[in-house]
Amino acid sequence: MSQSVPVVSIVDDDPSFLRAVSRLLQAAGYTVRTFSSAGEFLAQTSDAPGCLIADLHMPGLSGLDLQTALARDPQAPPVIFLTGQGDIATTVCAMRQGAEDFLTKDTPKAHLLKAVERALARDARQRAERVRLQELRRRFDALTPREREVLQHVVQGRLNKQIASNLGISERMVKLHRTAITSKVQVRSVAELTRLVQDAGPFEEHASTFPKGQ
Amino acid sequence: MNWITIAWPMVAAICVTLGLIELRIGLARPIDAARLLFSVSAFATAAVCGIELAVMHADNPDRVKALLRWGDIGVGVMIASLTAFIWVYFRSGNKWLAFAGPGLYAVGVIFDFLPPRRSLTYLQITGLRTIETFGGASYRVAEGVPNPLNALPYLGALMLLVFVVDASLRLARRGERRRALVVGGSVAFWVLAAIAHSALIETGVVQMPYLFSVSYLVILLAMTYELTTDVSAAARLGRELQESERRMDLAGTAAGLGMWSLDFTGDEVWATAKTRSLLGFAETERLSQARLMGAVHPDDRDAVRLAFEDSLKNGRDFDVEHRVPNPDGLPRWIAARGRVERDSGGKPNLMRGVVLDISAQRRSQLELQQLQGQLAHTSRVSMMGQLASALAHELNQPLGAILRNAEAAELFLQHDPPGLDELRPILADIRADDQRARDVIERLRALLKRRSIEPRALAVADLLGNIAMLTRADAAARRVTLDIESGSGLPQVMGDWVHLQQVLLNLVLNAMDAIDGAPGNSRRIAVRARYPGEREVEVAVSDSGQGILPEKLGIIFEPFFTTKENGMGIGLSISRTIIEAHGGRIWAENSTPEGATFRFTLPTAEKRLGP
Repeated sequence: MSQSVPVVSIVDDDPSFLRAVSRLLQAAGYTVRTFSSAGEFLAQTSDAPGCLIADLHMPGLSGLDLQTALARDPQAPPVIFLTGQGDIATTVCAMRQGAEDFLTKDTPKAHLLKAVERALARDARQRAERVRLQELRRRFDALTPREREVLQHVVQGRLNKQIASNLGISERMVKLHRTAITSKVQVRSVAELTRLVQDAGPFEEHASTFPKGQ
Repeated sequence: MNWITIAWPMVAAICVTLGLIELRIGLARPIDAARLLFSVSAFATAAVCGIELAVMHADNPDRVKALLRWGDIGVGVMIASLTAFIWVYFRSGNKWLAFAGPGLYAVGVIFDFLPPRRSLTYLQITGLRTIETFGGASYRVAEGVPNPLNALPYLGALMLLVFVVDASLRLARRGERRRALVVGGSVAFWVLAAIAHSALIETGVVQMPYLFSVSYLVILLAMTYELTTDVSAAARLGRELQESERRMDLAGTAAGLGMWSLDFTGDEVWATAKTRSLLGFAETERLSQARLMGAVHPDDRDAVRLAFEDSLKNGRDFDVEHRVPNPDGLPRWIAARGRVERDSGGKPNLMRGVVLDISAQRRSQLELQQLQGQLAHTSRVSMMGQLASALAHELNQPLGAILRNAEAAELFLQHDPPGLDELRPILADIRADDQRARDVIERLRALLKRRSIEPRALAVADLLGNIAMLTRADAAARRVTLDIESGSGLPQVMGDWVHLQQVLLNLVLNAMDAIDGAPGNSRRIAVRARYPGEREVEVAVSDSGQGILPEKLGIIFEPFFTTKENGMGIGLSISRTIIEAHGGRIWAENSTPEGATFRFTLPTAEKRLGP
């Protein structure tokens, strides 16, 4: 996935502007896909890496509507808003929802290209992070229920003796579980294990006891 | 010469004089039949008077017989004419009685002339007696055997008496007691006196001359009295008429009205001094229909002539406004109104009318129009202000595209080898976007220009398309769905592009405000045009707002009515002025299930161009 070429998607109801922006980005070496409305963009199901450049004012679904719809999708690309004019309220709203950038249509090329660059980098970062977390989750998912119980106590910093008495098993058993855990999760230290537990985030079964990821 | 030869001719002279007077009055238009009939009776009396005098001086029985025969005819004419006179003058009486009197008399007179041509009065005249009377005068009376047929004229005279009494009573019952008493009484008296006196003479009881004519003096007296009453009434009427004319003149002058009438039969024009001064005629100038038309400003003459002919042909009121050249300055504006009067055959014979100087109203009307134009312009500019940010978007779009294309071209040129093939479409797009920006500016400039309403044939779809362009960005920013669609097959309308844009813009912006003020979820404005027939196109702007309070529906088009905090309340009022100046109507209604709909109509182009 990470090898595939990033795609810059552009959504604008003005065909001429859409063509111009796509030309510029193509000339700058990007792969571009154009959409004449937010609905059209939402209808396509591509998870190729990339970013989205959207007009704020469009008939039907506006740029903000599009952003709201995308917010539900964890795989959504970063959004750059490109607008004829923007008022403070809309800008704040867009940024709060995590827009990558908010540019006017007459913004210099360098700014636009830099913003695209940043957005693509962020997308790549996010994608890599997602991949790492997925991998992490896969490792944690391999743990047995008993091992998870033990893990819970370990990340809270308890000693083997305390864990053994708490779970009603022998200290030797606790040691065995810990060995299994470190080998499954592929860590060498308790500190590293604790950090990964935090990164991996939601353990659905132990949501109340595990700290939430961001 | 003695008093008899003086008195009888005098009586005759009096009869002739009054007869002539009544004849003169009777013949004056309109012809007065009663007066004519009375003059006939007066002349007949003069004749009878002469016969009476001749009888008094006749020297043989045959001459008396001949004279009496002619006297019978004279008295017959008196009876017939008096009967007819009463009938016409009183406009009452019994028809059978009216015919019976003269009829019976006439039957009697026929015997006068039938063989054996005996006198109706006497079967035989036995002799003539000379009677000396005072003052040394003498006269002759006939003596003879009375004719029993003589009862017929007496019966006729009695019938007349009954007729007159009956007619007089009827007249008195109708309220005209004086006339009934004076005229009816005098005629009745004469008939009674004539019957009684001649009966006494003819039966030989008294030996006197006939007094038909002398006793007729009573009737003359009565009619003279009637005449003087009429004359003084006419004089009073004349004075009242003058007074009323003066009052009318005063009213006309106070109101600045000039009055005129045009008599078609003699092409005569009567006009008050005011009319003459308004139309530029001299006080004494003789006027005619052509001269009146000549006073109208040459540019308005055709319109005035059309209105005039229409009024003559179709009986409509003549109502036209035209100019009259004024050597001292600007042409005067005149409102002329009139009405045609027709004879019984429906042919126009007279037109009466007024003229009024409306220059001042015209001026203020013009000033008002200019003010309205300024107000409309101000409101248009302020509306464009509201749209400013949206319109900036409309301009930013092509400008942004131009910039991006130019930047892309730069990048393609930096490629190795330079991407020259890419440049051609880029330059074409730059050119197209430049034109687009120019168009937007041009349209805005047109809307911002101050100008009067100049209707031309327009396509409604173009109007709506431009409104879509102007409001699209604003609608998007306010998250309102704008659904603008004109039906197919719409005829062109007659209208002024800029002013109609203003109306549509006003309605759409109002609709957006209405939506902003409503809690509902659907934020939608629909603009539709349709052709319901009747040579007009209807445009409707519907919103999904709260609608209009029913009690406000009637006043929202009034100036300074507003529901907005910062509204001036002139938008809709200006829209109404504009639409009505186009000959259309504008109104508002609440729609189901929500919101309000504003509709206006515009005349189709054919309506104005066609007949």
